[in-house]
Amino acid sequence: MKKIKLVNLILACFLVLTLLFFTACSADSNQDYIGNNKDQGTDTSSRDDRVTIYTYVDPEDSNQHYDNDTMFYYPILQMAHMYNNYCSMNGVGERAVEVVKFPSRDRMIQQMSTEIMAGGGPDIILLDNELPISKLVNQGAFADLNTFIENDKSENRLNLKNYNRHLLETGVFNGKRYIMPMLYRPDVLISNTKVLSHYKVDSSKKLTYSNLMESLKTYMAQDEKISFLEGYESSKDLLLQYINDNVDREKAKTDFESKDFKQTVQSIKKLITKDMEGEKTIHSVNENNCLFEKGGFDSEGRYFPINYSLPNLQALSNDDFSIWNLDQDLLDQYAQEFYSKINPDDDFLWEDINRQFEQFVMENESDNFNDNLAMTGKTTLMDGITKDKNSRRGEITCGFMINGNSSKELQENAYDFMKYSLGERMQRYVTYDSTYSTSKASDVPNIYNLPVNNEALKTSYSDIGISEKKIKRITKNSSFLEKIINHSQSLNTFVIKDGYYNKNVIGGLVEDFLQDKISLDNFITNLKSKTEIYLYE
Amino acid sequence: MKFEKKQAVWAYIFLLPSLIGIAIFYVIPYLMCIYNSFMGTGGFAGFDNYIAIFKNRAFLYALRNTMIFTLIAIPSLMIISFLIAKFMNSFKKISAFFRSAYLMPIVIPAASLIYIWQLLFDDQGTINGILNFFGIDNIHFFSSGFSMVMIILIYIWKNCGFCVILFTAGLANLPNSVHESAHLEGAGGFTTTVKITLPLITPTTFFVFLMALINSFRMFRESFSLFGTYPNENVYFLQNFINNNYNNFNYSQLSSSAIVMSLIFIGIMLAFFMYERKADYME
Repeated sequence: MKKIKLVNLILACFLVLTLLFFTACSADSNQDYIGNNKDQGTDTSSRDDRVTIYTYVDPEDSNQHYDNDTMFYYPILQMAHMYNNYCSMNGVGERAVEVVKFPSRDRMIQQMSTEIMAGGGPDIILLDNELPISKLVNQGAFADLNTFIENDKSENRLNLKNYNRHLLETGVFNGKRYIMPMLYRPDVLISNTKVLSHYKVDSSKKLTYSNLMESLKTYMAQDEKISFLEGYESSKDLLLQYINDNVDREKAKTDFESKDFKQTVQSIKKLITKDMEGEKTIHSVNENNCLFEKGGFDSEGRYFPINYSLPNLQALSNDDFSIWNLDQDLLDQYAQEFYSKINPDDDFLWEDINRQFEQFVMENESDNFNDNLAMTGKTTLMDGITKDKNSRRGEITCGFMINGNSSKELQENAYDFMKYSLGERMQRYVTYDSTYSTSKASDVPNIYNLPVNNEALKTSYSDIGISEKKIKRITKNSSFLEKIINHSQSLNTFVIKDGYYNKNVIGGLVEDFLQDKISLDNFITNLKSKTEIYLYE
Repeated sequence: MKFEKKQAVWAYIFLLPSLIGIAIFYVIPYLMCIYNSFMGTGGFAGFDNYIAIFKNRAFLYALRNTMIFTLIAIPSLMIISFLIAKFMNSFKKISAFFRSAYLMPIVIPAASLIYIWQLLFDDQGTINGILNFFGIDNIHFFSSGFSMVMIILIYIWKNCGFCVILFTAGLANLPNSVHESAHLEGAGGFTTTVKITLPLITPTTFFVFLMALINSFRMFRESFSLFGTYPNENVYFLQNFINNNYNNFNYSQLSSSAIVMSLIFIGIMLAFFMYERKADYME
């Protein structure tokens, strides 16, 4: 009898030990992570005491967060590094943040999902297209940021006046602020004055879904091989955007069965079908083979959206004369002609001489420049297509949320990081400064977006090396660069793209419709059915 | 220690690894699932999550479709496979070949089968081609009420062979004398089948039912591959609802729907189990 009891006892102990063994394994199963980004001098606390952020990194360079789908580069690792240094220097090392890196977005979301299910997860959640944000908000997964903002009595508290009001409102749901936007991009159609006038498109008239076909009447009637947008991806996005505009997520309703919706879907499909004919061709406004441009293609033919870094916008401004845009041989000729007249023994400042050289080139080339501009047309922009004619839309591409599961202390520390990240210095850094610090191995272009901090945007002019004099000239000439910056500051509607819905719920269906695999009625029926299930879930 | 007790201890020792596995991977998660189903964002939520899912239209769609599938597909599968088994039993010479052939659908990987189903049921596929040839309009198998028919057909096709084998084995074990007596008493083929064969093979029927029920869960793999994460409302099953709630991070809803689903199936199995105990004529 005693022996049986002993065997039972041994078996019970064995069971308990096995369970403990498995529990211990799960608590330290970091082998799937690429690594943890801990900074020297601040790594004194355990992971449970530190604010954590999850991110996925470029497979080719584990030091870069990089989204291969959107080609959007986001220097979260560098931000964490800067913030940790700041904490270290100010003697608050315990507030440092730790970035946990994952090899892919799917792996990160899977891990995050499991952890949140167990009541944990990262303290700071980065806004990601693949996360069903509206659903997470409804479930109360995030902390209300207004509590932290109101309770913050420190000197460097967040001043919401420094940010676009409409932009910030996007993160507010039922009076609670769950999302703090970090970066955004305006919804604009870039074009060329000559192309627009050829197709009789009035650039001053706002394009809406209802007046789209009317405005593009001449374009639709032509037989030339010119596409509406630069590629299939952009055109498909237009249809997805229209579908999203007809979904009321709060009331879980759709407007897919209306006559207007069916007509507009057909019209957009006509435009896209036109683009699909030249799918393999890389279209560009500058080469006059597309009407509008929202993105471009890299050397391997991969699509990427417009890069909103100031240097790139400046490069798009063909109405801004610069001697550095001239042909090198021509510039050499001018240099030879001008500098040969300078006596090096004379007393002068090279700075003045160089300015005179610029003036000399401008005087000689201004006629050519203006003739050329008249011939090629100026780069210009139009508002993105919306439902409402008064709407000027922008898309939030990056933002922060604080995990509702985290402890109060970690939430406060996470808020400190968020506050620092929204400050002028960090905002400037994440949008422009990092352009020069990037060390990506591949030649894929990095896509940057505009900062939400207004001061950061203004001061960034000087950060990219545009002199004060040139800023004045840009402002005076009202170049494309200035137009786009002004436009971005006048946006009144901001959206958070529901990439999960676009990709996982209706992505395949839209593709089938565009490829003519299903009829319009079938498309509408399925679109309604799938969307309603998604909304009800 | 007595021999029996000694044997019992050894039996437990050998069973232990499996019991630990079941405890860790099934029992503990199930208990956690029950716990989560009673928890909300603000703490203990009582039956709120259960009330919420029964008000959720997506859940109701999923429940309706799952019940339709279970109530139509499983009995259809059992009837068809029983009839085939009975038919095969009368041709003992060719049955060996068919026994192997019928297992093929289970052996072929699901991913490669999907391609065949797509070719067959697509709007421009074989079936619609034949229908068009006879002047009948296309049937949108992937986007209409026929999606359910398609899934049921795939389920029957895939599992029929295995069930036929099971029924054939059950029928082969029946004593001929009972049938011969019935025949001498003047009973016809239908009466013999209903009154003698079916009651006698109840254990086999129960096993076939159990396998059919388990395999009905596995159909999610085929359904998911054919229709994706968000199928049309006719083939939106409870597994879709649970899977999507995992992706949407909605764990209280996920847990409560999983518990409801498990309770339904446990209920069905218990009912059948009780019937099987009552109707075991072989004993």
